[in-house]
Parts: sequence; C-alpha cells; structure tokens
Amino acid sequence: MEAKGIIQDNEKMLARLCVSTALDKGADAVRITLNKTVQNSVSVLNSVIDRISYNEDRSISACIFANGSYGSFSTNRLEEEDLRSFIGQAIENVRLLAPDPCRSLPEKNSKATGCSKGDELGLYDPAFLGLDQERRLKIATEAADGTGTPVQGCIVEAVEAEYSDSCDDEYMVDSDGFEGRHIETRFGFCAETTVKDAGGNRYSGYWWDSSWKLDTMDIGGVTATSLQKAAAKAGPFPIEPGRYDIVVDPCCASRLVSPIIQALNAGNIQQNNSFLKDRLDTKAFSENLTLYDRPVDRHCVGSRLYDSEGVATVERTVIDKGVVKTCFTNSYMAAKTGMEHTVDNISRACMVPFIWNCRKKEINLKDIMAAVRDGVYVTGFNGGNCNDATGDFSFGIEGMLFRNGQAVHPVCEVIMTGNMLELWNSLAAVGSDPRKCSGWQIPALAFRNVELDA
Amino acid sequence: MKDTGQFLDLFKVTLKDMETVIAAAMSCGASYADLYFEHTIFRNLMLRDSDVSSGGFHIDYGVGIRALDGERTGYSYCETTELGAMLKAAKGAASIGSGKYGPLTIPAVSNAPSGNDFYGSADGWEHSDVKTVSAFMKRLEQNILSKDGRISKTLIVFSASQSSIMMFDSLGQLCTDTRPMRSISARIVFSNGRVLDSRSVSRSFRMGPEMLTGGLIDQMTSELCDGIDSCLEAGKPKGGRMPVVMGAGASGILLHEAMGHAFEADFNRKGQSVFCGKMGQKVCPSEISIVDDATVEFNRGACNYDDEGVPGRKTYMVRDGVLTSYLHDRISARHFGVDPTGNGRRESFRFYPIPRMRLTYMENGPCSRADIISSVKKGIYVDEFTGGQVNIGQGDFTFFVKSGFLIESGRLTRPVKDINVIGNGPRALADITAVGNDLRIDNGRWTCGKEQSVPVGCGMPTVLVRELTVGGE
Repeated sequence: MEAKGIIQDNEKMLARLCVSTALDKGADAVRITLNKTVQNSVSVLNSVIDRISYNEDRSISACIFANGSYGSFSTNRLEEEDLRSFIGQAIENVRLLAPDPCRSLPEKNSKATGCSKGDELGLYDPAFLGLDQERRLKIATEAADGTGTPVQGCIVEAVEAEYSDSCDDEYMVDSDGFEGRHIETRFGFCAETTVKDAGGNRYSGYWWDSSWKLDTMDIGGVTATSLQKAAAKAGPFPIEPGRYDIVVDPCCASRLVSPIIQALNAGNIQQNNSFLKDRLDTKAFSENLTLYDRPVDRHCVGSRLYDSEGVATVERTVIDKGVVKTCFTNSYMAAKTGMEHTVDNISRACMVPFIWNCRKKEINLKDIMAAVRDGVYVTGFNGGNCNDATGDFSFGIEGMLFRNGQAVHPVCEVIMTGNMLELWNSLAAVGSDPRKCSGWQIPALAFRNVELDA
Repeated sequence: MKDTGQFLDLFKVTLKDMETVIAAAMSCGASYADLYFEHTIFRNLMLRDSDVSSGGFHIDYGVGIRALDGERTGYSYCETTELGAMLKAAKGAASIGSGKYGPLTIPAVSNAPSGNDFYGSADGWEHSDVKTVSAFMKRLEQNILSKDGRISKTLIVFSASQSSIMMFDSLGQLCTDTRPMRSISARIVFSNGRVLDSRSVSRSFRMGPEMLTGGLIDQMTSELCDGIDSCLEAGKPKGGRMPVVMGAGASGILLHEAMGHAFEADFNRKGQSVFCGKMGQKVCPSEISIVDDATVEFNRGACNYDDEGVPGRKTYMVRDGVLTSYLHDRISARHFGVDPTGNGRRESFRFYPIPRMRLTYMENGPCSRADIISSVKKGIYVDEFTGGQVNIGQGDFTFFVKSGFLIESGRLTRPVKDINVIGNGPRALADITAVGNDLRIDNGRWTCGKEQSVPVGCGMPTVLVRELTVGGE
C-alpha cells in the first residue's frame, strides 16, 4: 500500500504535465521535482505559549535541457495555466544561455528503481496526520517546564523552547521515465536556557532532540540539559595559548568533518578549490580514519534512495584507513572532468570507532576523555572558517579544560587553528556515540597536539 | 509599480477581502493582526569556465498572516491569495488569541505614502537581459584574467530579484513597496606554483540594471587582483591577545556581530542579551556613535518600509558612548513602551518579522588611519572578512579574517590570512581606543542568518581595539 504522505494524485499529474509541456515546447529533456511540506511549531517562553505557527508549502522545480543548454527554475504558482506559462518562459530562457555539451539527464541505468512509493526507507510516521493542536501545545508546555533541579549560584533568566513537526513529501519525474518519491516526517524539540551568575554575567545553553517518529523522540531531558549546559559555562577562565589534545563532543563534531566532504565535491575539485584535489586513491589522512556513506539504512534520518538527479545511492567507502576512495560527482561534473559518476553528495556519513589504547568496540565520550587524560573538551564552535583551497582553518571554540579525564573549568575566547590534513592525521580516537537524531553520524572525536590561542 | 490598485490586482484581492481576513485572524481575541503579501522573482546566472552556461528564475508568491495577543504571536501563511485559503490560514494564526481583547473595529484605511524612496530603478527584467548580463559577466572575467596570469579559474555569479510587497494591518494601514536587488560576486583561484589559494569579491545594491557599469568591473577586478601577491605571501601570525586595527569598510562586521545582535530588542525582551537592562548607560567611550540605518540610498540594507509597514529610518543605538535604543519590531516596542524603529524584518512571507539590523555602521571619529596604525607597536590590521557569529548570552563573538597585515612598530609589515578573531562584545566596545575619520560603507553581499536570511549592510571607519584574541601559529 502506498504511504499516505501529503502529495495528492492530482498534484503528481501537475508534475507530469510539466514534463509533457516542456517536451511539447521543444525541450530535449526535463526533470521535474514537486515538493510539498506541512509544518507546525509551538514556542514557549518562560512557561507561556509565545508563538504558534502552521504552514503549508508546495513548489515545482524544473531542470530543463534545450538546444544544448541548461537552466533550473522553480515556482510555487501551481495552477495549470501558470505552470504552462512558467515552462514556456523557462525554455525561452534556457535558449539564451551558452550551450554546454556536458549537461544532460544522467544515464538511465544509473537511476534508482523501486522508489516510487515514498516510504521505502521507513522515515514516515503516519502519526503526523493524527496530531492535533491540543496535543502539540501539551507536548511543548510540558517539555518546556522540565528544567529539573536548580543549579546553585545561577539564576534562570529565560527559558525559550520550541516543539515542531513537519512532513516533507517530494515527487520527482523526468523525461526518461524516472519516478521517485521520498516522504519524511520530523518531530523536534529544542530549548535554550539563559542563566545569570552572582556577578550578573549571562550564559546560555542549548539542547535539542528530534526523530522521524513521534514516540521515539526523547524530549524529557532537553530543557534540563539546556540549563545544565548554560550553568556549565559560568565562570570561564582563559587558558594559556599552546598545543593541547582536544576531545570534541558528538553534538558538534560534524563541523570538523564537513570541510572534508566539501573538498571531496567534484565541483570544488574542478574549480581547483579543494585541498583534496588529485588525492583520490592516495593516503591523505590518519590510517585510523575510515568514513562511510550509508544512505539506504532504514529508519535512519538522512537516508535517501536517490540523489537530486534521481541517481541511485549505494553504500560507499569514502575514506578507507586514511585513503580517499570516493569523490562526490554528479552527472555534469563527471562529464566535465572525466571523474567517475557517483552521487551529488554524501547522505549519511558514518565513522568506524577506534581508540589507540584498547580494542573496545563501544567507545563513548567518557572513555575518550579518560584515555586522553588532559586537554580541552570542545562542546561547541563559535564561528570560524576553513579555506577550501588550502584546508587551513581557524575556529572559535567553547568548552572545558579537563585533567585526568575530569572537567576542571569552562574556557573562554579560545581559537583552534591548523590545517585539515594535519588535524585529521593527528586523529587519536573516534567514538561510537553519534547522536541518533543527526543525519551525519559523527561521534566524539579526539585529536592530538592542536594549536589553541586564548 | 507605485499604484496601490496595481498591487491589489497583482495579488487578486480587494480591501474588503483583506478586512475579512484580518477579522478572521483576530476572531479569538487578538490585539493586532497584519497581512504581508509578496510576489518575488529571483533570477540568477553563472559563468564557469568562460561560459554563462547555467541560470534560471524562481517565482515565489504568497501571503503571511499574523495575529498578536499582546507579545504572543500566531503565524500562518498560504501560497495562494484565494479568500478561502487565506481564511483557513488566518484561523491558524488566530488560535494564539486569548480572548482578552475585544471585538475588532478596523479604522478607515490609510495608505499615505511614507515619502521614503531609497531604491534605484525597479525596471522589469526582459528575457533579452540574459544576453546583456552574460556579456557583462564575460567582460568582467576577461578584465580579471588579463590582469594576472596566475589565475587559473574564475567563477562569477549574478542574481537579480524584484519583490512586490503589500502590507495591511488591523490599524487600517495599507502600504506597498517594490524592492529591487542586484548582486554580483566573483571568485578566482590562483597559484604561483607553490601556493594555491582563492579570493572573492561581491557587490550588491537595491538597484536595477544601472548597477552594471564599467566602473564596477574595474573596482571588482582591482579588489580581486590587487590582493593576490599578499595572499600568496601571507601566513598566520603568532596567535594570542593583541591590539587589532579594524580597517575601514567591511570591519563593520565587528559592529554587526559584537554589538548589533545584542542590541536587537527581542533578545533584550526575553532577558537573553548581555545588554539587558543597560539602556541609558555608558557602554563605550564617548567618541563612539553606532547607527542602524534604513535610509542610505541603494544600500542592501535600505528599506522604504520594514516588513511590518513601519517607515524606514535612521536609529542611533549608541550615541556618544551611551546606549540610546534597541532595534525594535512592533512586539518589542510595545514591551518597552517605545515606538517601533522599523527593524521588523523577515526573509519572506513564510516568516514572521523579528528585530533585524539593516545597514549598521559607526560614525566617524577624530583620528586619521595613519595615526591609528602608527600608534600600535605590535598587533594586526584586518580588512577582509568572510563572516562572523555571536553568542548573545555571553556576548562572545568571532569573525573570520580573510586577509590583513601584521603591525610592527607602527607599520604594516607581513600579510596574514585565514585567521579567526574572538572577543567579548561589551568588552570589545569598551576597549575601542581610537576611531578614524574615514567611514566607509562596504557594499558586499552581506546576509544575516539570525533564524532567517535577510540582506544587510555594514560600515566602519578605521578603529583600534585595544585587545582581542587572534588565532595563529
């Protein structure tokens, strides 16, 4: 039985109408994506409902290939007459662009099959359609009130929390006969607590949880955790500049992975704007770094059966014991560079756990801090950037100094500086504790000898 | 488009329809309601490998409906302006109502224009403009490539948008605005055989096609190519706490991140900002005045009206060192008992308005740039940035320096690049020890990402901050 989702049959017909209209008006090929979203949110400020919102979105995107040229277009005016005019204007527009022989729909045999129901990956919770506003208000207000035990020395100044749920439904068709659908529900709750210490200094802590399934969302401790996180920042001390071992919390560790993924994007490589250019099949990182893309795991946020061109996703080894094995190359970049056509981007990054001094398979943050013993525990990043071409980075960090595996005091105004290749060659540990609610499954990480300024 | 009738036709609604929807939004007893109609066409073109071979347009149309119950918000939107759909959305927004407020009477409709006219031409786009703009982009690329043989790649992106906005509220105020925006950015990748790096430059204005001039090509080319030598030689400084001279122009990011966000009144209303309760207090040296301004012609942050129908104006946040105003939307203005300052802004009809900056800058001080630099024995001078961030509670901010120089014995010496600078907003503000007389507004494509993306501008004279933490080796 087809999952319900929120796209109706008559809306699918509109997507197909766009394909036939484009071909009738002279396009060589076309890909149409219909997106529809319904979203609700309830915000609570200091135990009082502060904001309620309910929204519905739908739009059609068209990738059009005509006379050797290519353009991409979108509209949210979905009346039949408007759509015919939209497609006509889009084709007229494409014909004014320079031809590019590398642009075409992907090979038919590269595309996903058996993905037209939308719920193949099990990311749709039918409970979404049964939720009423009363229930949402109840969830939001109850969870927002759960600040837990007061923290000595800190006065709570503000607690702002938000419950939200949404259903995203995408339907994709192209002129080569591809048909794909992806339906995903999302339920989330987040809280930000601001506290004031005796000296009048304010500190904020943020925490969240989310899930595709309402009854697996773990929101009970979210507000209390945000309070604990705010209080943990109180009374920060500067640290001496120098080289430190660092342990990065799973809640923010993906910040250090994303420059690698960015550098593996064929578009950046083609533009000479990647520190991993010409590194395919060579060892660029520590042999302890193994990174997979696992896009087809059922019931896992971030999974998808096909990419933005309809190309089938498969599990891939991205980095194997430090050796670069995959670049993310869409059909255009594959044709332009001669690189192997893979998919447009990573879906679910997953890492293999390791710690240098034991063979445990389950490694958590505590294990890593105990093993590292002394250093800085990074709980968040505050700005910064990574140079795509060189891999040089500089990030502001928040966190705690720790000794003998135990937190000593919060630190303030600390900057972490280095180069991505050097950083990942000093990888000391990878946990097995990524947050389930994240698409990228990045666990706690540890690195040796990182330059910190303060 | 100036005539109200044309806007009513565009959105296929009548005054009576709008009154009906407002009444529905207030049906549960709200204190205020408003409608925000938007029709935006966004166009883009990309030059890659010397050809403008991709581009397109994107159409967005809809209406946002908001009901306020005191300071509490009910919000909904729909992507059609059919009365039935708007009434359904209004019902969603109305649910915030507590019944505390009495039945609605909308005063007689008033659509007196604000008199503000801060934008350039809002000429419609013709298909043939693709050819004209493509030719401009190619000229820009050729100019860049002819200046330096070390450039291996050029990527140029152009975008043009035009938004037709109509706002109506329960006070009977009806206003309209046609907002143009054109932006162009260029990125080059270059190498001397040993070092490979990239640089970017952008320009963005509330203007029509008149923005694309030969002068713009020369400016962008110079800005990109003049920095190549420094970039190839640049290293990281030795990190630590040191004096930082912020160059005129883009250094306005310091104001945006370190102070501007903390002055936004929603954070102060909620007790989250480091500047809570400091209104009327001295927060920095008396040479300093900080402004958030909607009235600078053609600027990316210019607003004839904000997104709540409040006319754009110039607001002093800090005058002679004293905190004089937060940046207000209607909700925070009501909370603090002041007039809204025209800072209620939103990304599109899909979002409710919140206090946002527009063009934020510091007014001129008495010092010359040369005197400021020569007063520093050992520090850094920074003048190109790629973004920043702030933690509102603590006031800790960072911004990322794309390029700058070491200052040694009062002189600019070795170039530096790719470093993060971190500090604390109130402390950095109090630590400004010299303000230059060379205020420059940076016309780059700045976008602020507080919950929603909105275009902003920033500017600054040369400024010396006594001490900030600089990342390095």
